[in-house]
Amino acid sequence: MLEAQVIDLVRRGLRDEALVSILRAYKRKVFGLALSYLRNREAAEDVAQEVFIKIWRALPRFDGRATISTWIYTITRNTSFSAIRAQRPSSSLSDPDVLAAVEMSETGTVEAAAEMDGAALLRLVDQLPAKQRQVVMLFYMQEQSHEEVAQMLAMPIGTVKTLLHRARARLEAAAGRAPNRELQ
Amino acid sequence: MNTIDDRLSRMFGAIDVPSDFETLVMARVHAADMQMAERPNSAQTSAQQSHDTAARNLRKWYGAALRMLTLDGLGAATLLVVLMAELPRVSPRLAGNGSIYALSLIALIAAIVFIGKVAPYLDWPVLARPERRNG
Repeated sequence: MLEAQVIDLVRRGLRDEALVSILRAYKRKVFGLALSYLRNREAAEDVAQEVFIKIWRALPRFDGRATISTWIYTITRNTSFSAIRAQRPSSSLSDPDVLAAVEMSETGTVEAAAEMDGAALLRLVDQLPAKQRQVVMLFYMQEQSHEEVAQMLAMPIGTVKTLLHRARARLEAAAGRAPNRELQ
Repeated sequence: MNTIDDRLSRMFGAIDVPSDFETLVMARVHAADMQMAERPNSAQTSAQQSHDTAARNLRKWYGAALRMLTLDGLGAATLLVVLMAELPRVSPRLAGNGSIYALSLIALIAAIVFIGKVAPYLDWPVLARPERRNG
């Protein structure tokens, strides 16, 4: 159990080692959750770093009463909300950094048509209502686990499933209307 | 032909932190740690500055008092001596009271000089140097 390992390391004065263990297990999840709120890669990276600094500072007070994931996700959500309040409101998943990451995710030779598909699909996701967009993004980032997404967003699993179902329906309908039929 | 599920999986599944993320976090953690460690030192520096300013002000005041004593004080003392010498002849009744006032004035001037001389050696809060922290 990561909780027990972390508590043991902190008790032995190895706070850096405890943080490294948490980093390895949660860096992608924390970044993903921050990105789902901020919709800007650079800002999400900054928030994710800030989250781990907060975790490092708070490690001596972590007693394992809450699961470490609940604790980490709460810090991430709160830090993201603070960053949203501080940032300009025009962020979008379609920002150049996220688009570049999506384009790089295309396997094999990066063909122009494939790049367009990724960008077009990302724009469709970007146009979804906020909660649906977050659920879609986190669900496909986190190996399609409803439980994990529910925990990350602090919402019931049933709500996650409903939001995901509605988002898929919208995306399929929008893709059907899109001129680029490769989306389907 | 890809389904939307596959496309979304590939698209969002590929999003990850940069390879140097852990290094960056640890660097920021250590920088934040050093900043926290430096905070007591800056409090120490601030206390030291306050002490120095107070001590400088006191020295200024003492210097001013001394200057007053060497120039104006010398003239006043001479005048006082002349008055004390001449007063019994002018008014014997006033001479008795005058000597009390003169003695009080001399005692006051002596007290100022005395305090100015011994103040730096006294453990007054404004003069006490803040203790230095080790490490």
